[in-house]
Amino acid sequence: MNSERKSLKLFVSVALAAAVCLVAAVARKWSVGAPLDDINSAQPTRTPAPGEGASAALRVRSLTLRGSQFRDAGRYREAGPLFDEALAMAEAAFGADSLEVAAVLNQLGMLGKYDGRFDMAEAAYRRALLIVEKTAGLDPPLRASLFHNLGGLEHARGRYAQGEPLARRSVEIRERALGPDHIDVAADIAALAALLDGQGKYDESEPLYRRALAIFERENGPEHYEIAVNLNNLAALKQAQGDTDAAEQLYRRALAMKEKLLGAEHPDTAMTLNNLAVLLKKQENYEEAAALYRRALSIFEAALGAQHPKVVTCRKNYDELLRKMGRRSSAA
Amino acid sequence: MDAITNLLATVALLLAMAAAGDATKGQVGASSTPGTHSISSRPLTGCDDEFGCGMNHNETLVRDAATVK
Repeated sequence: MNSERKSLKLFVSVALAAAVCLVAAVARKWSVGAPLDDINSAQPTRTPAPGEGASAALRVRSLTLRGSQFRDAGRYREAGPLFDEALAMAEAAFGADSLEVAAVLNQLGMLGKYDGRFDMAEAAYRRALLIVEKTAGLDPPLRASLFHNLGGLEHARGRYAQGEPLARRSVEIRERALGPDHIDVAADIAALAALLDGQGKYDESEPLYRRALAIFERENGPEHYEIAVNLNNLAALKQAQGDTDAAEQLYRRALAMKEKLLGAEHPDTAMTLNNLAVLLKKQENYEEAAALYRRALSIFEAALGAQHPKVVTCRKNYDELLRKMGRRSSAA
Repeated sequence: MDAITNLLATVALLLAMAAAGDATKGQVGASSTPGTHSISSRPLTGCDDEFGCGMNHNETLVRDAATVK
C-alpha cells in the first residue's frame, strides 16, 4: 500500500511536470510568433527574397548613416556618393516606390539644401512625398519631415513666403501625432519661426523661437546643436530689430557652442561668424569684423565652393566692409 | 526509495518551472520590443531620426544691409 502511494505520488509529479512543460513549449512558440507578425506587417513595397531584404536594408542603412554623418560634419562632397549608392541599392532591393527609397530621398534632399543643389533637393523631396502619400498606412513622421524640409528648402532659396505654408503643415501633422511639447514638434516650430523671421514677421517669430528653445533645453540640456542654431537665429532677429547688445550676447553664446560642438571649421560655425561680423561692422569694430569674415569665407569656400549662395553673401558682406575701411575688394 | 521518489519529483517540477519561466520572459521581451528584431522592421508609424525622418535646419545668414541693393 505504501509502495502504491509512492508510485502514485511519482506518477502525479511527473504528469504535472509534463503538463507544465507542454504549456511552456506552446507559450514559447507563441512568443516567437508575435514579433514575426510585427516584422511581416512592416514589409517594404516589394518583398525581397529571403535573406535579401535584411542584408539590403542593412547596407542601405549603413550607407545612409555614413552619408548623414559626413553631411552633419559639413563634409558634403563625401556624403553625396554614399546617398547615391544607398538610393540605387534601395530601388533595386525594395522597388522605386518603397518607403526605404523615400527615406533615402529625404536624406539626399537634405544634402542638396546644404550643398546648394536646390533643384535636385526639391525633386528628391517631392518624389519622396509622393511615395509616402500613396503608401497604405501613412508614415506621419516622415510625411511631416518632408513638409518641414520642403519649407526649409524655400528658406535656403530666400523664398520665405512660399516656405511658410509648408512649415505650417509639418507643425500641424506632427503636433497632432505627438503633442505640442515633443522635441520634433519643436524642430518644426523653429523652422517655421525662421520662415516668418525672413518675412519680417518678428512678433510672431520670436515667441516661436523661444518656445522651441525651451523644449530643446528641457530635452537636451543647455548645450546642443539645435540650441546653437536657434540662438543664432534669435540673435539675427534681435539684430534686425536694432537690439544690438542682445544680439551680440546671443551670437557669442551660439558661436562658443558651435565651436565646441561642431568644431571651428564647420560651415554652420561660419554662419555665426558671418552674422557676428555684420553686427561688429555696424558697431564700427572693423578689425574684428574683418577677421571674422576672413575665417567665415575660408570655411565656406572649402566646404561649399565659390559659387554657393552662402559664399556669395559672405563675400559681398566682406567686400562691403573692405570698401568701408577704404581697402581693396577681397577678389582683387 | 522514498527519498529517490521525492528527489525525482522535485527535479521534474523544477525543470518544468524553469521552462515556464523562460517562456514567460520570451513573451515579455517580444511584446515590449516589437520591431527591434530585424533592420527591415522599421516601424511605419515611428520615426527613426538617423534614417527616415531627418529634418534640416533653417539657419539665418545675415546680409549686411549695405550690400543689399
